Amino acid sequence: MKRLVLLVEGEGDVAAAPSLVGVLLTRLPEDLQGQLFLDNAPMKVGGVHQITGRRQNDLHRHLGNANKRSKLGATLLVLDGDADRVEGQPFCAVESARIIAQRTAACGAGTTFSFAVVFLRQEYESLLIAAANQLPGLKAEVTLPPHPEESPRDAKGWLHQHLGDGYNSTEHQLELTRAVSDWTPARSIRSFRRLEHALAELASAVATDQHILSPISSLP
Amino acid sequence: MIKQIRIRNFRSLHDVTVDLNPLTVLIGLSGTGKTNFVRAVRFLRDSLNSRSINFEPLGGISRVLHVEHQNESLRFDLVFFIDQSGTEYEYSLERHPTGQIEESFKVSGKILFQHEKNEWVVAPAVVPLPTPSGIMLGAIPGLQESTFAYVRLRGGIGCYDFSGDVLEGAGQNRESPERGLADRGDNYLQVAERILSDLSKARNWKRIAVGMRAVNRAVANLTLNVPTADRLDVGHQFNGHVLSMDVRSESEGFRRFLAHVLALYQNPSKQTLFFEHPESGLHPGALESLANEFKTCPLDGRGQIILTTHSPQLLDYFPAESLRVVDVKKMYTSIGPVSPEQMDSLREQLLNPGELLTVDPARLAGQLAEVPG
Repeated sequence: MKRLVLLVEGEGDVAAAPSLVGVLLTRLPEDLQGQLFLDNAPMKVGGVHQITGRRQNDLHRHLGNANKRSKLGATLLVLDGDADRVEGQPFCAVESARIIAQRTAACGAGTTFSFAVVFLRQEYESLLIAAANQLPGLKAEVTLPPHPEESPRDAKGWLHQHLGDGYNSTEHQLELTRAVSDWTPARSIRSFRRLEHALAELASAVATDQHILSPISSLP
Repeated sequence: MIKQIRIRNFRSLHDVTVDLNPLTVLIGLSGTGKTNFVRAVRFLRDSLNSRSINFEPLGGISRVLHVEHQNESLRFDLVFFIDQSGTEYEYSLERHPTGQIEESFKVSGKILFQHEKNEWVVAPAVVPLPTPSGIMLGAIPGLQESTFAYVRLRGGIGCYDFSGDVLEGAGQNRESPERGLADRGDNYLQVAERILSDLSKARNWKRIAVGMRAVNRAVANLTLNVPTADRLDVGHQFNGHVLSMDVRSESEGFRRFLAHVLALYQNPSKQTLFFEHPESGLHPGALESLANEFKTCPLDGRGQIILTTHSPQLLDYFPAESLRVVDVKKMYTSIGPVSPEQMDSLREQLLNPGELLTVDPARLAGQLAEVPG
């Protein structure tokens, strides 16, 4: 069994992402179960702009730091995919993930441990909205958005508006994540399926000792 | 320099041993026990000063002892040096639930005195032999080392947590100037006068003035009204002239910075200086200068420095070896070095010290979950 270290965006994610990823790890195919052990100290790396452009070396440092933890097998970077532009170009989650993953080869990712990037569209809270009918405190008259992946654009704001106690990620993100017992509705969101797939890829890589970068780059 | 301190049963510090360096920086979330650590040392110092253990200033005994150990002793054990000779002093003070005091004092491993239940366990080699009662450190005629240690612990420790109105007062208080800068800095004029009175260290005064330019580039000098020493003026360069303004009218950041620097350059120097959250109210651009003052203080022999901070920017200026992590679990504080894997990352510059407050929160050894199997 190898260690899986999460790199996440904000304080709420530090608390909540392990809960979600922990659940998803238990739902991997049977042959991939027991390959990864979830590290108890996610690293808070900030948004995509904190690890790209002039700060792209910061991600290499963070991965090097993660690699100091014993028995590292995989690292998973989970960021919100709500940026408009990255490095001067219109933001494309798939392309940005590929570029970021490819760059990390320089610090040992893909050879000594595996690394995957997942952008959640629009943000982590979009997954909660997809499963909103399980959230405690949801106001009775609320109509769930039909396409939480694309709208609402401000998922945190949507939760704040439609939950009885409002929403603050630091205070509520973990509590709401734990309240969701069935993530099936979130599977309608492509980035949620991407998260599931990335975990399966990482577990498979650790199982076969063939480390990967995910998504695989199409760049030369 | 205090090399090691063990505190038992003071608020959340049930049994905590801390190894201290010439420069030590305590980091941890709010409510973990950093302030309790500083208060414990202040409590010990004040107890020695008054020769009695008085819980009232801290709200009574029930507010001082650990909430789950109200019927146990309060105890302090210190290992410290007084000068550069390397002679190691060890002092223990224990207050039993009955109110009785137990005390022991060693120099270079040899017990010079020890008493409990108002009787000598090891009597000091002096004649006439006093009857032990209360705190005896420094109260045994003929026992020179005991006096040295008493002066060291009573007057040689400053615990500073400057408020936003520091240096706004009259600058004089009744505290003896020999005791140095008061914890709240309210005798700053006396302290400034004593810095200036030692002409052999006149360059220190100039360094203070130059250092203040980190906060305000227009600062030309600092002047103290003599002989009355009733105001400290800050000279500002203004159209080729120097405009003097009373320090009391300066900004909070300026006054806070100056208060720290006065503490660092006070005469005579403290041997150990505690500063809580020195970054408060300061412009980030002044933090490097303040950090440099903290780092040079022990190198110049002006005292050991122990800081608490929540500032990633300030933390970035300090070496990994100086950091101590403060954590709390179920109201029990632990303090120790940064975990080995984070220390490796710091040494290899994969992690900046400030990132121990942001990206990868500082951990004690053993706090990272181990991979099963």
